[in-house]
Amino acid sequence: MDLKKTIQEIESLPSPDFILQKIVDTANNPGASAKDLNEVASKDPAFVAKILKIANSAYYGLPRNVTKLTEAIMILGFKTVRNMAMSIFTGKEFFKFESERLDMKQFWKHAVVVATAGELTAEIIGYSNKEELFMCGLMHDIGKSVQGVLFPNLFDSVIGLAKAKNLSYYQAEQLLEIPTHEIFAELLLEKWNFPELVLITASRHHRPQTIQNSIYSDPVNIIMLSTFIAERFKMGDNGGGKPIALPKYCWDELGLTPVIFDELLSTIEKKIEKIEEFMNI
Amino acid sequence: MEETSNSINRFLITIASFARELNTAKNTVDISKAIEKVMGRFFSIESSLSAVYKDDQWQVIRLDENFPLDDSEMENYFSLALERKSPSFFPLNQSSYLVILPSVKSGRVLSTFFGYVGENEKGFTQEFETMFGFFSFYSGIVLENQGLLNEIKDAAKIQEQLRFYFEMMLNSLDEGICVVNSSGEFVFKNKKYQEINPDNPVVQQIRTIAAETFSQDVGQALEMEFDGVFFSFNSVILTDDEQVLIRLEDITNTKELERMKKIDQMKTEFIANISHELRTPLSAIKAYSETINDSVEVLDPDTLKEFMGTIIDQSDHLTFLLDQLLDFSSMEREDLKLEKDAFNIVELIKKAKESNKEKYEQNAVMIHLNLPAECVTVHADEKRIKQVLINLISNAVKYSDQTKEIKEVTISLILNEETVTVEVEDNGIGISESELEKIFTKFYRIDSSLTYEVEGTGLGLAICREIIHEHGKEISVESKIGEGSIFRFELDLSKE
Repeated sequence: MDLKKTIQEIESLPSPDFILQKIVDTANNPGASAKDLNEVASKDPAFVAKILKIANSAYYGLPRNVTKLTEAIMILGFKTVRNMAMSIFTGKEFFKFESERLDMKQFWKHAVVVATAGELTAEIIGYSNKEELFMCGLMHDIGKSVQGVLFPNLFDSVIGLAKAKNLSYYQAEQLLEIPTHEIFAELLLEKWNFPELVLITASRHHRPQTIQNSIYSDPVNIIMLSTFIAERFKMGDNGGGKPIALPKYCWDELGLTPVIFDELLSTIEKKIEKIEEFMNI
Repeated sequence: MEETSNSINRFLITIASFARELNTAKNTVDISKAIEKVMGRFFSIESSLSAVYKDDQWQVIRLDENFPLDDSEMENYFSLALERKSPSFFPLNQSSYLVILPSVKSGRVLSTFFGYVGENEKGFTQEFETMFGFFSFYSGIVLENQGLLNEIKDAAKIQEQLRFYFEMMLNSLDEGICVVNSSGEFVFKNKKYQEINPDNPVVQQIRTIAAETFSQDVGQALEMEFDGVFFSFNSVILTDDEQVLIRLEDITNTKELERMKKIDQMKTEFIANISHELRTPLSAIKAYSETINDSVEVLDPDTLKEFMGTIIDQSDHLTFLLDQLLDFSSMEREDLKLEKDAFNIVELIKKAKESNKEKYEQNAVMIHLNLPAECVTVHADEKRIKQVLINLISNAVKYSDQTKEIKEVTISLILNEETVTVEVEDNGIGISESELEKIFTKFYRIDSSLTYEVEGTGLGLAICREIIHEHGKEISVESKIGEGSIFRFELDLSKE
């Protein structure tokens, strides 16, 4: 498989439009105000309507309906609104392709579950930048989507091999000696000029040892743990035949104990009951 | 780019201020006030409310009276804080909104700050989201640590109360209790123990007992007398051989009780004894008198004279016994009166020897006198001193050693500067060390059983001691079993 050709093919994939790009940028710009963002977003009322629909869903449990994007931003924050916008975009463009082997609804559920679990894990273990972990979780398997959209046959054969031989998706990719979904994710997110944190978690979550002792080790460990939980407890499907194993250092570095893990699990399960609106994007 | 670095600096400065404010925070209210103060630099917070979330309940603390929402209106926002676990700016109407800032630790909301904010002139920017997100995170840590600190303080308080309780119990005891560690330092002293003067020899004894307990690895128990006060000591090993607890009890009263019982028993023995003593001469007098009465016609004058002599002797003995009893009773009433005068002690000793003549001749005891040739005048009660001398000589003879070939008693007079020492030395059976202290006790007889092997009331030495004591002097004794005894007392020389 030609990597050069792949890069060219990636060019043909949908990119975040101006409004989404603006929303993503705003979340990382300290000076950005809710008013600025409202002005930009007002150019695409349908998109705003979708954001408000999720904002008003059970997932966020707001005490009253939010009718304006500025309100949603003030109540939920820039980063959460960005997460919703990204969910709408990727849910539509990257989790709705044709596959004979994988139920797209379950694939999408996997992404939302890992995103949710990532944010809740950050909260419970005391990693303060929790909204970023939702974004990382949402995007962690975007590489598989790139494979699925661009090379549907290849995508299905990886899943076929993984399920038949009881391997993880990543192990099957390695067995087939094709560029892994980590590489595809890296190419896509570099092209989109996305924050490094999202890029690293999407492109290293199967090789956490390569970023240990860096500022990204916590987020990558959290995404590994979230993936582990989603797979183990069969919340969604990521195309693998066998759940990944959780390395001991990941457990240790996050300071987990059976009590914390138990609390984490029940918190995640409760929240997953409320992901209906995300599922219907 | 310049705006970004300004923003980072603003962020750091704000965090520094917030951290500084939280440094002195002791509770939720302090934390809420710190949030209000620092946040108030960006937004005009008109009024605020602090709510603690504990055991599934919200406890509301209104930081001022102007907060526009009542408790029931707050319900929704409480749920939001619990659900979101992140700061929110909740629009209430066109111009105002509610700042919700929960303090979160490990996914748990510990408390929440609610601020009622008027129009914000600067507008809501992403910078605040990050900043207040950090406030939420950091205040949660401070609050949890504060909670842990309070738990430790509470535990320490309970421990303190418990310690006080046990100390009170230990202090209420009538016994002295102390704990000594293996280096000999006092780790604990109860109130009773603290009352003991550190120079008191008891303290040294405590150290000795502690050391012995450590070296022998077993608890010790003993009784000792210090200046007439009896103490019992008990030691127990505590905590892994590192400390020893010693219990100290004043058992003088118990000892006194034991002594009284002993005296009581001795009195009983005394009565039996004195009855026997009085009966013997009386029986003799009666027997001889009856014989004379029945057969006065047939008795020749020599026999009659002999009989009458015996009656007189026995009457004298009876008088002596009764005198002793009278002396004793006046001694008991503490009105033994002395009639002091100047007299020659040398002569008196000779007379006393003569009074015992019959006795020592009967027992084949030699009496040596070691007296100065000249006259030695002392100032004392002559009659009483004679009584003492007779008693001492009589005892020396009475307790002579029958197994020895030569039985002798030596009476010496030693002249000192202002006094004279009288010594009565014998080579008799001697007195054991344990008996030595007791012989001057009233009613005490060495053979305290009722065997009557040796006659006597058991009052003699007690009376002697009392007489010498009344003269302001002491009577002392040195003795060795099988070798003999020396009784010794002093008298003042006459100054005339």
